[in-house]
Formats: sequence, structure tokens, C-alpha cells
Amino acid sequence: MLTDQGKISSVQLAYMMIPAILATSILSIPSLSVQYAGHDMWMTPLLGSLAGLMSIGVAMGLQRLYPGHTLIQVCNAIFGRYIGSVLGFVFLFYLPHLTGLVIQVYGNFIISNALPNTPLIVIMGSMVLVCAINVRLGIEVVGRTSQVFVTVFFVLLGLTFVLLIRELDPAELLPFMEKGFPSIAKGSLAPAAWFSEYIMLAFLLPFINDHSHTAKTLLGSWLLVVIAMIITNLFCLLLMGDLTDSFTFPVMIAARYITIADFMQHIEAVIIAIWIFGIFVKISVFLYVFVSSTAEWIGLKDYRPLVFPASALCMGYAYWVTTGRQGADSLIRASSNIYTLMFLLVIPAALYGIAGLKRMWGNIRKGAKGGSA
Amino acid sequence: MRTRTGGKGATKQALTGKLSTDAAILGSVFEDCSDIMFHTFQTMWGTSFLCVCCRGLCDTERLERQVLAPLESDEAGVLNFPAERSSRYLRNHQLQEAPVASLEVIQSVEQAIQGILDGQALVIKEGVPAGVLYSLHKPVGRSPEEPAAESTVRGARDGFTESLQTNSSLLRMRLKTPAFKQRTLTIGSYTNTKVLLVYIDGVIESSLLEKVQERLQRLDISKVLESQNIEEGIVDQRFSPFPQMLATERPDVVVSNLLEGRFAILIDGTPFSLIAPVTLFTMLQSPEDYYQNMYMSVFVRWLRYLFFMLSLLLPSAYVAVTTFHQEMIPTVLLLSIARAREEIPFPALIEALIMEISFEALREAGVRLPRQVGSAVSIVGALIIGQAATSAGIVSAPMIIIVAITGIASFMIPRYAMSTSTRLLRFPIMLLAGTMGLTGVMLGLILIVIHLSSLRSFGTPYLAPVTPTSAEGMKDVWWRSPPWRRAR
Repeated sequence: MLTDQGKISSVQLAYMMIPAILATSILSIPSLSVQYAGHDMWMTPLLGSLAGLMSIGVAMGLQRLYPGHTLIQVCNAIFGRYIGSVLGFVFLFYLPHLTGLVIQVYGNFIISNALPNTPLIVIMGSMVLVCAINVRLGIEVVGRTSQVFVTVFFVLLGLTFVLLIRELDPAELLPFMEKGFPSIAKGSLAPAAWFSEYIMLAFLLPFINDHSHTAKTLLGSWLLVVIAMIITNLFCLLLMGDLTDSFTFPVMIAARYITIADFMQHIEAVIIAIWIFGIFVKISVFLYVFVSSTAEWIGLKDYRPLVFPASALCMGYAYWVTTGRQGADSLIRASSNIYTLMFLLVIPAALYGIAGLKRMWGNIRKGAKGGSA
Repeated sequence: MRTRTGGKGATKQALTGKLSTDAAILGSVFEDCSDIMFHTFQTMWGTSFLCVCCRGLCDTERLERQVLAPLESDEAGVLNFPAERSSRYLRNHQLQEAPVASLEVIQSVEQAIQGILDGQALVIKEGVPAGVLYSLHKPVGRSPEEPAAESTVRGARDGFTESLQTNSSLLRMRLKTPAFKQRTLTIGSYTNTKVLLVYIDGVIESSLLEKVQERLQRLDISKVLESQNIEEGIVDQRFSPFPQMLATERPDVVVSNLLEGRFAILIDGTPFSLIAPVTLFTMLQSPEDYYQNMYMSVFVRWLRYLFFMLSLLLPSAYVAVTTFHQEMIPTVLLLSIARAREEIPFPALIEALIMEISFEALREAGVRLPRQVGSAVSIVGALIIGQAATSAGIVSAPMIIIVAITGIASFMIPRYAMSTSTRLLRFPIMLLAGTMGLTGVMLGLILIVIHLSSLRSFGTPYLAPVTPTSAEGMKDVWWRSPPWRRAR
């Protein structure tokens, strides 16, 4: 029993997932990965994307074993009502944390880059309100708005990169493999944490109305994200080299290099626009997942009454998660990647494993029974 | 459908055939209606007749010549009075023997009242408990002219008129197929307006047809004076600023939309017909897109998309950039803007609001003023707003340019209802731009897209075919494919 009657196409789902990964990563990943991987940081998304593949695999696998079930319902189906509820609660605890972090990153970004004098609560509150309206209108509307804005996102992003081509210095690629493979692996931990957000699919796959092409479409979106991430990393590296890690948002610095015929300069605002569109989709998707799984966990028939309270809770989390920009930075940079990976990859994978074992055990027992009878 | 008439309960009765009783019933219903004419007469053979009609709507000259005169000359009035004959005989012979092309035999008083108010003439013969309604409408109104609000350089020059019959014949002229259907409904408890639901059988989806038929029948309003009265009652989302039905005066537009599987509603008394379901992109298309060179129409179409965005966002983008993001403006341009704004006492937002509001006022005044004084408005507008305000240092020249471009942009939107909604939405976005800069503009844009995504016009998503995507439909959005490449 889903809490929303709407249906989306797999293409729309793919569109929803792209900024759910890219929107925040595009700003933070270059400086995070260059810290560990140095000049080889452009390779880190390649390695990190494996986590995305695994997440997609786990989500699709769970969907195959329990068709039409979201992750919360899968927990109940595997462990029964009580243990399943406890496990579901773990996710309910984690989801607003993640959403709050994203809102916090948004607020800090806008404050430091566009509106230094506006109170944080206004910036975060307006965005959360807009996202809440979006979420309240249902998954179909979330799917459609994603499709519109992700298209704009890619067009503007592509344009920015094309305009940057002449500033690139390919020599920055050298020395190749300077720090060796382990540091690349360490650098790819951050992209991996972002890619593991693909596990949101486990909550959203039941809403799809065309199951035939889902796998292909989702792999397409994954590939698109990998390419976009590599290109972003490459551009930051080839523009700024070792300096990349000294900026919190290197892409914003990169945008300052753009000049068109000595007339159009300082088009960072375009980057901000791209980013607002992306972050809007990301917060909407996360908020939707949080609200709908809460409704499922409580056992409501309709998730709508929960939207505004849940949004307010996420706003609260945005303040609680960290204090100020330093805190957010450190949370993104260090241990949190492991924390994220655990919730988004390890636990769902364990669930999948248990479900698979259970199914296998059931088959063996059935087979044994069949043999004896 | 409730009918509000006088004479309590009288309308439920049947015609008696006794002339004095029938005349009394109808007389009490039409009490104080001086335009209803009662005429009782006796032929030389002694048969009595009662004739009731509405003087202005019914062609009395034809009534006399074609109905009353033959009745009088006929022996006992039998041959020429259809109500007396068996219905079978009637069906076989009425066209040959009755001198009027259309007549209807009725029994109830209610039908009689409707017919009379519709411009038909009611004739009752003494002793026959039925009446005959002769359709003798006097042609009222004007002949088809070119629609003022939707002109094209190339394309048909006729437009709908206020007469439903003329309008339906304008459509039939272009659709010579029995698949072109018209269903008649009566809406409005006081106006009892005839409404035609037209569609093409086999092209339209039957579920859509059922939906609109049901909504029209459920509609309970007292008056239908303009298509808007109906539109507001049957659209999906009543509180949307965006038009969910396309109002047009052009028969060729109706025909081409019918052929794409839409339906149209024609309303007696207004030249505007309603077409649905529509999408955002149909609202940004002009019939001329299909009447001219393909490349030209693609170019114009993209120009229109661009200016649609400009008419929505240009003033707010200007406000946001000059207030919050001055670094984005190239230095030379920034200097000239700064010079122009130096002596302006207002912040950019207030300046923009003043200009936009006075522009809207000018436009509204230009529409309402009598044509003779219309030129005064343009002189006042150009001279005072354009010249004096800048030289007095109240408004800067760049702002005037922005407002002018925005004005032109909103005139470029081919559908008037669409351009009014962008005019309206411009103001909240301007406020957002004044408070939160480009971030605010983006949030406003996002809100509009959210609304558009949730909007449906008779079940069709408003942003289709872009989202939900249909590759076939996209051809007519980003491009205008030649006819042989389009479906149907």
C-alpha cells in the first residue's frame, strides 16, 4: 500500500536521481577529492561510482524480491512487524539528518556567494517551503518539475564548461599516479558516499509505471552522473591545479574565469541558478522520501498531512546538524562519508543479503517438502 | 436544468387543445412580457387558431406568409396543420407539405415556452392537444468579420459572430464530414443559452467527451453571457492564473484543434468559442505558424518562447542584477546605468513597480477609453511617462527601456489570456527579486513550474508533451514539422 497514488515513468525517476547526486557533489567533490588524490582526483568518481552501481543493484534487487514495496515495507516484510519497525525507524532517523545537511549546505552556499546579509532562516526557509509545496502535490509533480529543471541544469552546466575550454591547462594532469592507488581510493570515498544516495531508488521504484526499461534507464542516469562528475573534476583540476582544495566551492571560482568577448563577465550567478535548480530537485526528492516513508512507517493512507511538519523538522535538523560553515565542512569532509555509506549502502545491502538468504531458505524448504510428498 | 419562469407549476402541464385555457396558461407565464405576441384568429371555415411568438426574434413577415396564410386558406385547416396527423404520416410528409423547413410538434407547456423564447412561433389549433413550433428565426447580428484580437497576415479572414447558427455553419463549411458532431446543451437558468459541444467522432477520446459532457451538465449557473462564464465552471483548477481553455474567434483554429482530438464549445451570444484540452505550448502557438514557411515559423516560435520568458522575468532580472549582483553587469554598461540612476530617489524595485503599474494602467485605459480619445492616452503615455519622468529624475532611462521591452514581449504572446497571466505573475516575481535577488527570481520561477506541473486541462498535463514526455508531440514544440511528418 503506497501513500501516493501517482505514478512516474522510469525516465522521470532517472531525472530525479541525477541532481540528487550531482547537485551538492558538483560543488564539494573537487576540493574533497583533490586533498587525497592530488592530480589524479579526476579518477576518483570512476572508483566512487561503483558504490552507485551497488546501490542501484541493491535497490533493483530488493524490488525484484518484494515488488511494489518501499524500503520501509521491505524491512517489515523481512523481519516481521516489530523488528522491521525498529529498523525502519533507523532510516526515519537518518533521512531528516541527510535532508537537513543538504538544506544547511544550500543555506551556507547562498549566504557566502549571493546574499551575505540575508538571515539564514529566510534563505533556508523559503527553499524548504517551495520544496514542501512541490512534495505535497505528489510524486507526479516532483517527477515533472525534476524533468524540467534537470534539463535546464544540464544545458546551463554544459554551456559553462564549453565557455571554459580555452582556459584549460592540460599539463595539470601530470604527474600521473603521483600518490599511488591507495590515495585515489581514499579520495574516492567522498564520491562513493554521494553515489550511495542512489539507494533512494529503493523508496521510489514502486512508483514506476513502466518496468521494462528501468534498469537501462537508471544505468544511463548513473553514467551521466559519472561523466558529469569527472568533467567537473577535470575542469577544476585543469583550471586551478593544486589550489583546488583551498576553495570550498571550486566550481564557483571556475565560473569567474569565464569571459565572453570581454563583455559578459562574472557569471557566477548562472552557476548559482543551475545550482538552485539542482538543489531544489534534490531537497524535494529527499523530503519526499522522508515524508512518504514516515507515513508508511506510521501506517497512514496518505502522506500529505505530514509534509509541512516534516519540512519543519528538516529545518530544525538543518540547524542541529552542524553549527556554521566550518562544522558543515568538517562533516562533509571526514568521518561522515563512512556514516553515510553505512546507512545508504551497508544496511540496505545487508537487508538484501538477508532477504536473499530467506528466499533461498524458503525455496530449499519448499523443495524438501516437495521431495518428501 | 431548472427553468425559472412565472406561473407557478403551470410549466409542468400539457397543452389542452382548448384555446382559452392554453392562452390563459401562457398568458400568465408571459405576464408583463410585452414582446410576446398573442394572436387568436378564425379561418373562414370556422376553425380557431392561437399563435404565440416573440416579436423581435421571430420573423413575423414569414410567419404570416408561410404559416398563417396557408392555414387560413386551407379547408378546415387540416392539411396544413401537422399536429393533427399521425406521427408516422408526419414523418413522411411534413417536408413536402409544410411551407416551413423546420417544425416540431410538442405537447407540454414547458416546451412551448422554451420554443417561443427561442424565437420559434407556436401555433395551436382548437381541439388538438398539441402545438406546432415553426422555426422562423429572424437573422440577427452581424456577418462574419475578421477577428480583431487574432489577426494573421496569411489565413482565413472570417471570424465567429454572436449567432450560434452562423458559427456552426462556419465550422461545417470547413468540415464536410458526417464525423463532425455537434451536441446541443442549454446552460444558464435565466439566460437559457444554447451551447454547442463540437468534436470529431473517431478522433476525440470518448472518455474526454464524457468528462466534458458531464461537467457541462453539472454546471449550475444563472447566466451565460460570455465564454468565461462557462470556462470558470468546468476547468480542472479554478484558482490557477493560467488559462486552461483556449478562447478563439477563428473557425480555422477550432477546426485544426478538433482534428487534433480536442473538443470545442460554441456559445450563443458570443463570438468566442472554447477549446480544450490545451497545454502551455498550444497557448504559445499562433495559427499562422502553420500557414507560413516552416523555417520562419520555427524562428518565430522560438522568438516567442524567448519573449514569453522575458515578459515574465525581464523586470525582475533587472531589479535583481542592479540591486544584488552589480558585478554581473559589464563595466561600461554598469557605468552608464549608474549614471542614469544617480539622481533617482527610489530603489530599483520601487522604480520598476512604479513603471510597470503605470504601464498596466495605460494599457487598461487604452482598452477602455472611447476610440475618439484613445490617441490622447498614447500621447500622454509617451510624453509624460517616457519623456518627462526621465528628465525630472523620477525614473531612469534604462528602466523605461526594460518596461518597453517587457510590454512588447507580452504583446507577442498570441493568446490574450496567456499574456494576462504573465502580466500578473510579473509582480510577485519582482517583489521576490527585490528581496532576495536572483535567488528569489529562481524560487519564483520554480514555484511557477511547480504549479504548471500540477495543472491539468481536462486531464491533460499542462506541460505535456515536454513532461510527461512524448517524442511525437515534441516535434510540434521545439520545431514545426511539415504536415507529412506530423501524426494525423
